[in-house]
Amino acid sequence: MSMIALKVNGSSHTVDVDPATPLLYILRNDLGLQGPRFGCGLGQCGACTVIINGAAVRSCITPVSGVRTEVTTLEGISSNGKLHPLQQAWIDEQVPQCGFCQNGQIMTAKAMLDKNPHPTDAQIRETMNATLCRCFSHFRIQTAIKRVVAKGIA
Amino acid sequence: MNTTSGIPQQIEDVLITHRRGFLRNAGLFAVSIAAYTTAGSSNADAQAAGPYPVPDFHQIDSWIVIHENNTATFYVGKTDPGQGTGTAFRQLMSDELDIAFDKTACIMGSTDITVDQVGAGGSSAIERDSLPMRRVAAEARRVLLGMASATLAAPVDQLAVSDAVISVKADPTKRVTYGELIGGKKFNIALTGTNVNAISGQAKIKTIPELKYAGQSLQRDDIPAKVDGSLKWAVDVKLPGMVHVRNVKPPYACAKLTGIDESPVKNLPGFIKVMNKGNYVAVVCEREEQAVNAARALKTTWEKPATAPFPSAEDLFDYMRTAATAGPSRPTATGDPDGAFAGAAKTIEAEYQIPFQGHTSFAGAHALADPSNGQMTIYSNDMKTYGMRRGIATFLGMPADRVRVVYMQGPQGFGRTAAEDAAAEAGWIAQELGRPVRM
Repeated sequence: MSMIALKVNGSSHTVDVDPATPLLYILRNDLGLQGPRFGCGLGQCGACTVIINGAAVRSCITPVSGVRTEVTTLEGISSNGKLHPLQQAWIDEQVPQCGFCQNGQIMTAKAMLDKNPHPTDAQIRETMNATLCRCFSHFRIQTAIKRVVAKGIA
Repeated sequence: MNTTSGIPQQIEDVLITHRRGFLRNAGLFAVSIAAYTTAGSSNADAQAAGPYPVPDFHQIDSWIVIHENNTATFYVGKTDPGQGTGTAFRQLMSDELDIAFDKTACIMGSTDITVDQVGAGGSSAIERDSLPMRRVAAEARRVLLGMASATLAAPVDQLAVSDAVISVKADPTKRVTYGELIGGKKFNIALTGTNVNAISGQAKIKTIPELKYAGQSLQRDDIPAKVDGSLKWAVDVKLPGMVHVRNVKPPYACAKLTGIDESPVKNLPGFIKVMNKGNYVAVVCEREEQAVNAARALKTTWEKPATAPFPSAEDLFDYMRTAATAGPSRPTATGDPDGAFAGAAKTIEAEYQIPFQGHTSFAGAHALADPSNGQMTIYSNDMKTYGMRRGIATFLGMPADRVRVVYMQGPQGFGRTAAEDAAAEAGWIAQELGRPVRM
């Protein structure tokens, strides 16, 4: 165990854990966040995705000791009670069914749009391809992303 | 979110507490129900002992509560894993009760506060299981009209109802709200019907043209909390003193456990215990990642069964063709298929082989079991919470009224989303250790 400093959604935290502990367990069990989810625990499904340094990162296989910059979770992309345009588009398009994967869908889409605000359909599909959904919400995900792209507010 | 939003987190934190207090005061149960808190509460001591009742589906009060602020909460025995049935129940019941949709909430599938409608299954929620809810809501409206008739000194047929306000048609300034009539109090009206699907009052349900919310494509009430990170899922429940468990599974089906070597795990940080009964093995640790690591590190040895319990993949279809059928041996034929084939100009024959299909959830099965006060509370996303309650009680040797299952959201399999194995395992370990267990 050792003391690890973390900055998450603008707040600083110190946790006393094994440095090899995957970031996901710290976020969920120590910091009480409910956005990032444990899906497969193997970095294969994407349910645990967070954004670090602008990149969509699978927190279930990211050792906490390797995190050098601020972590942003689903809870951190809304501001002052106002939803991020992607979150609003997810509601407008009624994207989720069970919703367990949607943290990963939204965070992966956000990392994409932050780098490329006007992706093509092919680029959207390629980026979202590895974030799995058991309920087959993929078509609505694509529609919701395109809604945000069309408004140009990502 | 406010008390009318119907989102699950709010349900867990506020409405269930309110509900139990209401039912106790209403005297619906022969037993007394102690003060109650649930997941998310910091006051674990308030979760006092007391049997967990089975709500009586013959009482309006088990289905509908009208609050003093003229809002309503509906309690139904279904679970909504994400198809939007909870929102649909609100639409249908709001229509029958004559109350604005956004003044209602719906609580589903928690065994001691909602009537037993089995949970989800068979895609029957709207077609079959919404009917008793509609009839109960219509009956509640009828009873409220009768109360208003006395209060406003006007016959029922001279009264109008709109958005939970009853007024005199000839003089709309004479009005009374549902909340004023019965807010915080019980209906105490018995329904008839020998089972939950047959339950009915005297009132008739509305005809289709009279429905206002049904037929509209309203936004689902569970989605906002699923996209802003505020939803507390079954796997998010945390309780004081909770430990984490991971199973250690055998490498083959029907393997027999022949040995456990605890030496690789007994000095690991946070390690508490190896649990073993028959062929079941699990590790218990203080933290989740410690349990994950300990489950990987524990050494177990297994004996392969002498004969394989299942056919090999290449023999699967031969096995299926020769296996005894458990159901009807052939489909029912109407008409004369043999004659039709004999007279056909051309017959096309083909053979299809389809493997067994199973439903698998998006993420691992999980449950949290709380053994406080000699009782057992299971937090689960299992679609069929009522059956789970009975199963857990039998499995753990506990009276059914000492076990409850709180339904919460989880990763779905859509079709038999069943997490009862995880719940039984968590329940057994919680019983053995006397601490809350997250499996």
